[in-house]
Amino acid sequence: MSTTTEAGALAVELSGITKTFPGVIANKDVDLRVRAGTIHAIVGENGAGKSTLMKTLYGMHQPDEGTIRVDGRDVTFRSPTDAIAVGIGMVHQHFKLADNLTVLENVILGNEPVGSRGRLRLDDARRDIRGLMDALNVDFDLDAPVASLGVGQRQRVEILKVLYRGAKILILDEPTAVLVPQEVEELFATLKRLVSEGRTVIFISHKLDEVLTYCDEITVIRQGLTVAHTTPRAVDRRGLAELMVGSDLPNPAGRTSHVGATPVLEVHDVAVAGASPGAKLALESISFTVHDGEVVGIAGVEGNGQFELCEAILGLAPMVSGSVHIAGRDLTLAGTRERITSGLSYIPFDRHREGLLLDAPLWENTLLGREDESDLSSGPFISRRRAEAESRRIIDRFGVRTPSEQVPAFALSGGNQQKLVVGREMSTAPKILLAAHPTRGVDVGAQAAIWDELRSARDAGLGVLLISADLEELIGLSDRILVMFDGRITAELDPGRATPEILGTHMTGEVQGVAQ
Amino acid sequence: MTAVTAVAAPERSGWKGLSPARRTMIIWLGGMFVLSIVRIIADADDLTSSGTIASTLRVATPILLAGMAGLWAERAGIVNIGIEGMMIVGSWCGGYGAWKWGSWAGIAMALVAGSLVGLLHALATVRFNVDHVVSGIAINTLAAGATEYLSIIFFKGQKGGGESQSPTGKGGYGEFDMPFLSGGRIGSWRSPDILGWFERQHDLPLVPDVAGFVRGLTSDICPRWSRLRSSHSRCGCCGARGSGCVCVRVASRRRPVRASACRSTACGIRQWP
Amino acid sequence: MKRQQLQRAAVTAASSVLAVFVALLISAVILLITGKDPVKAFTTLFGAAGDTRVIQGSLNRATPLMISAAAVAIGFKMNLFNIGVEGQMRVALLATAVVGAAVNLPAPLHIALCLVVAMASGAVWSGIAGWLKVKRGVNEVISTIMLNFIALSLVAWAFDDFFRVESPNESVLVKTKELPKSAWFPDLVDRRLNGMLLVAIAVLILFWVIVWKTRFGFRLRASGGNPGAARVTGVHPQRMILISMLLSGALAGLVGMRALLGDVHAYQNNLAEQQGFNGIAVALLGRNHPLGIFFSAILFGFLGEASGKLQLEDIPKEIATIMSGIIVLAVVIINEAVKRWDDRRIQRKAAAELEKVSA
Repeated sequence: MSTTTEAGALAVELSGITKTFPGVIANKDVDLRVRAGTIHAIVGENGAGKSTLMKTLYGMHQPDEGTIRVDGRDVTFRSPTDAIAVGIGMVHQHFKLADNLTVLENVILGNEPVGSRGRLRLDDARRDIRGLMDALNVDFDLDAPVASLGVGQRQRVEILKVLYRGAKILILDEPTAVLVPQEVEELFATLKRLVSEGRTVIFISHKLDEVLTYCDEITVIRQGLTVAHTTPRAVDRRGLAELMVGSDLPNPAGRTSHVGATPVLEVHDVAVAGASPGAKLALESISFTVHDGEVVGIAGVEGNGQFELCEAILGLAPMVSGSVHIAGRDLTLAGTRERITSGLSYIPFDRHREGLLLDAPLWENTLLGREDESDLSSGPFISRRRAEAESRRIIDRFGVRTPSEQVPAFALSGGNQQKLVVGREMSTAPKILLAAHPTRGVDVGAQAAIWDELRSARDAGLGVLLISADLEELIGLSDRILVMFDGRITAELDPGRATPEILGTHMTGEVQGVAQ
Repeated sequence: MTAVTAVAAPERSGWKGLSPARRTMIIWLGGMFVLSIVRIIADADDLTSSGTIASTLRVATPILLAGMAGLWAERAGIVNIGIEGMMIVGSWCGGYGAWKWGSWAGIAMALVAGSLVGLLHALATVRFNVDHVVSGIAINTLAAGATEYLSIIFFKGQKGGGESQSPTGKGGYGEFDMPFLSGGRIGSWRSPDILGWFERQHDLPLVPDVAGFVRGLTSDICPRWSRLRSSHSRCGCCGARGSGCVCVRVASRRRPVRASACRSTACGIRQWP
Repeated sequence: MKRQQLQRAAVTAASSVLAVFVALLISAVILLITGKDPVKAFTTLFGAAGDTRVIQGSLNRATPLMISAAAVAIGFKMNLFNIGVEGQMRVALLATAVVGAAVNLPAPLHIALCLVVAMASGAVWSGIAGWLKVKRGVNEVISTIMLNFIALSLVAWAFDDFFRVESPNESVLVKTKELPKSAWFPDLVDRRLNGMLLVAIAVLILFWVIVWKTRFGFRLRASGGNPGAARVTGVHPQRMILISMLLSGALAGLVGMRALLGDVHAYQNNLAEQQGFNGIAVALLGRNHPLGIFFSAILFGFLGEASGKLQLEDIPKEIATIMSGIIVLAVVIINEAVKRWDDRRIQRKAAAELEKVSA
């Protein structure tokens, strides 16, 4: 099945797209030109506006300004149905598959072939899907329940779904976020096959290596604006990173060490049980120490045990063996509240799920976890006035942009919400701060501010365990970097000599146990 | 090339190895056996009589329908606590339809009314995103109040009706007994009641029970729908006050058995001889 | 109260008021269709508000509704639906009637004992549902509804078989042994308004103080608002669920006390019927806030009391029941719509104010 569009002609052309949401300009005057028969990457940081742009292209919302042209024709989409009708298909980052149905049923869902009298023509469907699978060189048991498939296979079911509806232009949103390296290769092999048939692939990513290896053209988006349109031949990794970030990358060299001698966090031989009985241990023999004035970075692809490590330190994970000492005290068996009062603070991975009460005003969010503090309460009662004063202090100090402390948390932008969480956790005079992706989804200016706060706190004696997927953040802030892979610590690196490439090879498990 | 193949179902022995049909058969026979023993020991001849089976079916019907209603909703991802309210409105409209235009009209009206209330639930939960449980409870409250009021307006003062009962419905669906098995009519000749004869051999184990079971399924089919009763202010069965008590009283011409499924809380299910 | 908070409160109250108006409108239409005069109905209904007897009666009816709604609301704060208030109330009624009639204490102590027994038995019954949820993840909607049925049958059987006392007078409903006078809760207005009203108001005030002003209440609201966030600060979600259900059950136990201690002084079959279920409606209209519950309970009580007058005008008093039903359905729908609108308004305002500052 090949399209009649000649290579070189534009499959998709977005011009002057502007889209705003309450409080934030997601896309401003964005241009995108995708040539037919290519793999086109859209690159940018978290929150740069890539997903918003693709949602506009897929008809999930309408742009405030701008035009969309597909195969040379002007189109408007009122809903994804219109986009699908024109031949655009989208594979989302979070798969939309029904676990209780089979592969066949999922692929035809919403697009079922019906004969006369409304009976499902399953045999026709089978034939068509088999044709698609052969063209892609994949093989599936169409009657296998989706629940039994692995992540890479599910993604391929999603692609089949999109192709079954006759998509000629495929949009993939962060497709490799959940794949291991081997699956990534298989995915791009599939995509190359699609493109050789004349289809077009657009994929969103912030993983620069993949982009440079696999795609034909790149568009860089930063803070809602298109900043560049280039090809892998014309730019290297560092250049691409600079286009994405827009400023000089942090230089770790030339700073003084403030690392003290007092251990504030000691994790010794910790093992955490797996998700189900009989499953592999989620964490195995984890041991490290964080001293006062030290930032220990943990690098690793998400899902290698970082979350379980935080839960273990917090006292929420099913620890099978090992010990946790906080500020010198053995708190292995202690509850979370006790650990917090002993000097532990936690900036959670997901501020919406674990960090904020979205419907509550900011002063109540300031109290979260702190309602027992003597200067924020009086006896069994909370002191609203003092909580409000404390929240005002945090808002000023950390630059949270909000009209007042009475505003509910959902009204703030993501970056400001994160600043509030960071400010709250750092205002409890902690001895050890567990910071998981502290600048995720935060604009560059706020990111710099948070980094400054972390640095000055560190200089004053705070110990920080920094878990991050942002390699520049890890290199720029850490005194030591530990790499986690598959539930173990596989390497310890000196940030002064580590580069994103070296870190990358350790993080994907290619190299294990080699210290720099 | 990725291949995903289905895993062949492992060989199983014993209970799990039987087909579902076989398993059902065994369970049913086992149950009959137990009931038979109980009947002989307790000398309760009525336990497995065709009358008991028949009224069991009658009483089970509303429960079955309500269960299916819940199943339908759950499959679509909606929690339907409001089935109660939909039942009440449906039965009121059914009673009204049966009174005015006959039993079949009653059924039609009940169907339409019930689905309209379902539409209301859908409007609240899908369009306005109201919590499913809350919406269901609100609908139950509203349905109870509405049917109380409408009963007073329409049914009070009518023959056979009152503020808690709909007037006698017109006609019925007729009755039907299986020929030969249950002594049904063929033309104007009454066929011998073979199962009935077996049923009366109370000294034998198992035989009268099975006969009673099968005869219960094949006799008195579609008993006359003499009156659909929506009891609101006071349950006619037990005198308890409870809004939304639905007493379904079904009388059959051949058998003076009345079964009353009273939802009112203090009542439970009773049966009159 | 800060301006923001006042605005939020006004918007919440507005949805309830709007719902009442919608209900009046639809009831008027129903009345018209069925051939009754809506103007006459409403003037009779609201004219009754001037009658002191009606006011006393309304407050009397409102008393159990306030407590019942508080029981439901405490569950809601933790995202738990306690539909089992009816069953918990019933268990508490029988238990209190039996225990209360079996002892003899000076008046204040006797009443205190009865209240304690009521709260304890209600808590035990709701605790079953809470324990099932915590240990086995059983949905509390289903378990409380099922426990309702079990409670009602259990209590009916226990009453029938063990605790009933035959009365020499055939026409009087059978009851348990009557409570001694020391357990009778004094009336405020003889035979018309019982002092349990003060207890109900005290419950509402305590509810407000505990949930909004104490550290425990903060933890409760945090757990309900975002269980994940509460968890990482050391609040045990399981413990909170159990405590919430127990508190809810304890309050549910008190619901029947006005009827038992202030009115009939013994347990009989139809005592305090439906007051558990009606509490859910009051909680919904009152938006789970003590102040809202207070006014909603009075409104529902008034509708129940004043509707008697409608009979005189040949209008079935059940129109009031319809009104209650429509109010409940309307308030939940309108509240969702209004909340969405209000959330967007707040977001836009916050963004606008920030633009002003940075401009």
